Amino acid sequence: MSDRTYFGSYLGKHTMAVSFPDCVKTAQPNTDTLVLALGNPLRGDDGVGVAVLLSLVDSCGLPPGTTLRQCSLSGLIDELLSEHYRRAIIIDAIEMGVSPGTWIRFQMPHDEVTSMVLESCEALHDLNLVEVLALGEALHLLPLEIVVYGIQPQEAGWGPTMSKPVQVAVEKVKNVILEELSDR
Amino acid sequence: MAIQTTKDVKINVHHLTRVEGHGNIVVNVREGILEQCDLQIIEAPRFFEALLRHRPYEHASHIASRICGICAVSHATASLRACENALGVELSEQSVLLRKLNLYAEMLDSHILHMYMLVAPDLLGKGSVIPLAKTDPDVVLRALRMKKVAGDLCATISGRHTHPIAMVVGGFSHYPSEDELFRLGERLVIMREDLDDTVELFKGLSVPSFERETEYIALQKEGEYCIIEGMITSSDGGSWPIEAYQSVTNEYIVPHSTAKHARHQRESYMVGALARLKINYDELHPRAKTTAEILKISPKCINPYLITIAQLVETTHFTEKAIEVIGGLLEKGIVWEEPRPISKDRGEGVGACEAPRGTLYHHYVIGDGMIKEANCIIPTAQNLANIEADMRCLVPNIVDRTPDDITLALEMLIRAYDPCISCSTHMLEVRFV
Repeated sequence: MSDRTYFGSYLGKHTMAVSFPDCVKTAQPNTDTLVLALGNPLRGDDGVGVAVLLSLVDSCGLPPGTTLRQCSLSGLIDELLSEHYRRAIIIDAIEMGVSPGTWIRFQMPHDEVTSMVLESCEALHDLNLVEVLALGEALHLLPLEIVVYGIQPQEAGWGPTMSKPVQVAVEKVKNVILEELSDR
Repeated sequence: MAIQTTKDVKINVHHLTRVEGHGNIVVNVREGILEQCDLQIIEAPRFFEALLRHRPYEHASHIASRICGICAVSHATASLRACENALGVELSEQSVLLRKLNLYAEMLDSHILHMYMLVAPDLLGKGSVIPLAKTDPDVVLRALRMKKVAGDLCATISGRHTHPIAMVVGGFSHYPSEDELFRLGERLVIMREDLDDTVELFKGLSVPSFERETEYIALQKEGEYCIIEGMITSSDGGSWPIEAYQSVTNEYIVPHSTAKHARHQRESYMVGALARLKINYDELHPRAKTTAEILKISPKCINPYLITIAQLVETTHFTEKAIEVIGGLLEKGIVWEEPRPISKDRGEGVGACEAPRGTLYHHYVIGDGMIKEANCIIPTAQNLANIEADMRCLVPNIVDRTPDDITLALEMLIRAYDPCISCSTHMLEVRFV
């Protein structure tokens, strides 16, 4: 008896609805929005993305079809490329050389990341955000729309406490994201 | 055979790419004589044994799994087995099967990552997986599909893809549903098509020919391709209980590395997929043996570049074993069991398992429910001396090539071992001489 038949007979016995989740093969975009927080909450202001995410969880104002996730570099491919979200909103601390707590919003341009990375990529082990975006672009697996919220950190030392200016920014960024989520 | 030359060659690769952690390659040939040939491990020590001390034994596997984001299940498994052996805990048959299934999943996840993302770009002449995705998207999509199945299997068994939370001392705190296991069984069966395509891909790729005989060490147990406990077994003859691991690993300090080196009956030994395949070939699943025949790898192989091919044989084996174990669990039905209780609150125990890169040991002394002493011996640390011995043997044979070609040959050699450098730099006492 082949294993396929075995699992088939088990199916008959237990009458379970079985379907192989074939999303990567078929690459069908779904209609959901992914809100993805990057950064380490044990490294001071580097945890600002996760703080915004937790604030969104508490807000009770999330529209249906919104998925909130936190991950590090090793989970980026799975989170960003495997589920075929229509839209991804990424929140992270970004060093911009401006006052701590200053935040920006920008849309990732499609069809430009791969060529940028192809020139310089010397991947160590895990791919960073730009490299994962380039990989997704090359494989046509990226969400149709990618929005990034970046918050200027004051310090990213050891410890879970964020600086005052970055703490203030958390509430503001959360409100803007809630507005953006409810617009569509 | 060494090439006769009076040439000078200097190679200095800072931060070798496509390996986990930070290492440098330094080679110096003066007037044809090899003067220096180091794989320098420059990552800072991580002091995990110190982190484990004075912690409740229940915390140990969760702390230990943080040694590595790739072989977290292996570290958790070895840690749990050390605690269970110290405290006299006997696991149920279901827990043993689920622990094995979790390790199969991690082996698949890690091997697929290594074969496709870290090694295939070299063999296909690409700088990394990103240009490979541009030119051969089907190859990379296949890797992502297979990796997703392995990752989902890890998450289903232990509650999380990385850093398992459901595995606890005495068993599990959570069990997968039969529905979840059934679906994963189906996906593994379907994954065979991708596995066949992977074999086809690697069959057509040219791997450097280089041979050096060494000692090969892996766990062995009668009747199975052993991945948890069993006896430590050497290709040079002899086997030892896991409690005698220190007589096998014989760690020592070298000046150019923050990771210790190891040696047994020769100047160095190898652990990992090729060592396992050589020690346990007879226990491979028939489909895996067929894969080995197609890829022309046998227990006689002494080419370290073929470690990747051994990983592919193991990928077939672990896929088939995972299908078998899921089938067996479903046939009996998943039973909710409380973790088995400890029979004492003090003791000393060693846990060992095969991590993707080789044999892993955790050794704890527990008193009043707290970890008093801890020692962790990591596969990559055991392989480092062997990698350098390979480098010293290889360089005189390729010294007539251009520096770029020599560098690539050395990088590919080191990548073949799939080193996990961050894991290996965990020792407590570093004394540079």
